[in-house]
Amino acid sequence: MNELIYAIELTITGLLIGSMYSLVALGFVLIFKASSVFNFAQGAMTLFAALSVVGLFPIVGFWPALALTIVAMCGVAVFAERVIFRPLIGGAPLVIFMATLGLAFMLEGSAQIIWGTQPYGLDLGIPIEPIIIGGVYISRFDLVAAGVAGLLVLLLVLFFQKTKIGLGLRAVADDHVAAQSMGIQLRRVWAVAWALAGLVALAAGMLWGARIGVHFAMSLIALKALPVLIIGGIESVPGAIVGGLIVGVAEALGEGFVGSMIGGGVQDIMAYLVALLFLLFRPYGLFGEKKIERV
Amino acid sequence: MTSILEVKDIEVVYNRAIHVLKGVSLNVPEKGIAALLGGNGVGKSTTLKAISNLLKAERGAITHGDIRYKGESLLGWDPADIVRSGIFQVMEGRRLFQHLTVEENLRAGAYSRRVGDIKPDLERVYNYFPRLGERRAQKAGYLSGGEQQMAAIGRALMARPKVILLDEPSMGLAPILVTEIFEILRVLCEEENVSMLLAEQNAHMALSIVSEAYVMESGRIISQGATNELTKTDIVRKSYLGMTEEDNAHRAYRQILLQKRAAGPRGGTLRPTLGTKGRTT
Ligand SMILES: Nc1ncnc2c1ncn2[C@@H]1O[C@H](COP(=O)(O)OP(=O)(O)OP(=O)(O)O)[C@@H](O)[C@H]1O
Ligand SMILES: [Mg+2]
Repeated sequence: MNELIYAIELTITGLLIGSMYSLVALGFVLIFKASSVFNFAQGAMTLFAALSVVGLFPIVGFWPALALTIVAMCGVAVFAERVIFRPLIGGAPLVIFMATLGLAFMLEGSAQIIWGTQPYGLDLGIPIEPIIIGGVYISRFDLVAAGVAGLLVLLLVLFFQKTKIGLGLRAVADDHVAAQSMGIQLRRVWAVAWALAGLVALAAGMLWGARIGVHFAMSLIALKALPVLIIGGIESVPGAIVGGLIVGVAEALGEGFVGSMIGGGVQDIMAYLVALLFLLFRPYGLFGEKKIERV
Repeated sequence: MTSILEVKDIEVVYNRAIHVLKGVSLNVPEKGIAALLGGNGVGKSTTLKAISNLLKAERGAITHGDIRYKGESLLGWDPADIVRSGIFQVMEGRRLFQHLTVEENLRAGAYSRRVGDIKPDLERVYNYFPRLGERRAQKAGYLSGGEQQMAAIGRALMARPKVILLDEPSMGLAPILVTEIFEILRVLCEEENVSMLLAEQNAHMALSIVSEAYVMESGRIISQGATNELTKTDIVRKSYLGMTEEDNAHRAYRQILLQKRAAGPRGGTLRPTLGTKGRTT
């Protein structure tokens, strides 16, 4: 019985943490869908956003810091579109990928110049004591974080389905030349996709930052997103969500049951183990976009 | 007849090296249909993309000449501005958004318009193409080839264009469907007051609805004229169209001989094919 409760507890924790993995992966999916580019700078954007919030927080207060950071992330989006995409339209995907690598270094470099390299703590004022439901301990922070992640995903889905620019984004994701032929402006759509990815990075950066602190290793968060993308399929929003949850649960269960037997350290490899299984048996991911082929 | 769109002696180069169009001029008559005919790889699609300014994504560029729409040069315009000014291209292979529904595809067609309410336009398209209305909530990727072509044309109508550029609408369709599509194009041209430029390999079908035709070969216009004269022109018959009755009969006969030879003494099924150069439809 205790085992069962323990398993439930681990699963819930895994799901909550997984939702934050989903959030990070979602940033990649947004840009990949719009432009078929794997945005190496997503991790750096997460770091940059988190640092900007914690850096400005003591000076101007929380909400102004948040607002300024949103403006900054939109600025990064416009910059990325101008400097990376516009001149490189029609270029080889690898060239554009390298350019995102360059962007990552630029963001990390400027973050270092502005805020230095020391770690920061971020207190969002979410109470830490867990709530207990039927003997199961649930972290209140993780619950709030998952709620924020879920809300953000919901807003994104509504944006895609209900707005004109959302339709434009989906059209560009499907066939960007055809989209251009009907007057959908690639530049604008790309800038919007980058801005959305920036906002997602901001949310992820704040939630992760509040959980584990804001420091430069945060840009390695991209490494967490990779298995999520393999599992869910890099072009799929639902894939990023489900993939993140799977990784979260696998990590929690792996650490809780296997890790306790062999002395820990299982958590970090679980994600890659699951991803490897997917690569073997379902290489295009759970929701990887299948080409529609009529027979 | 006045021309709404004039292409004047344009040259197009891909990758700064591959010279594909070597001086192409043509006129699209106001409220009429002009055809741009030619076989594989002669430069039809390149011409249409040059008009819509879609060459940049393929590393192509116009190096000479001019494109004038209602007397104004279009060179250097943003593709979106060209659409907004009234020129809409239905690209080769339909290029529907496969994962979007039929209705979302149509809505995307109206993207360049600033007005809010496009319901009447949707209804208008469903009137022309009732089959699309029945399938409005279906993913476009699952439509049949004919339905996809109808959706692509419907999507063009959503933009309320003045000129529609059509790149091989007959591609991959059965002859009876081609006839149907072309009839719709003719009706649209009359009822909606749009002009069209129709790029086609299927000259025989195309010539039945157009008033003016241009024949292209390796990046040049080699023959042009009002259709009734053109059909008689020798160049057309010889260089490409193969459309006279005797000619077809002759080819079919030659085809049979060849197949007989290939199949050996016992012979196989003999199916005379028309026209060796064009695609089968
Ligand atoms: N992006 C490109 N880069 C280099 N060459 C190209 C490119 N696109 C087309 N070409 C070449 O330009 C020529 C004309 O191509 P185009 O697509 O305009 O022909 P087309 O008349 O439309 O042929 P089809 O009937 O087969 O569609 C071809 O020789 C083709 O190989
Ligand atoms: Mg073509």
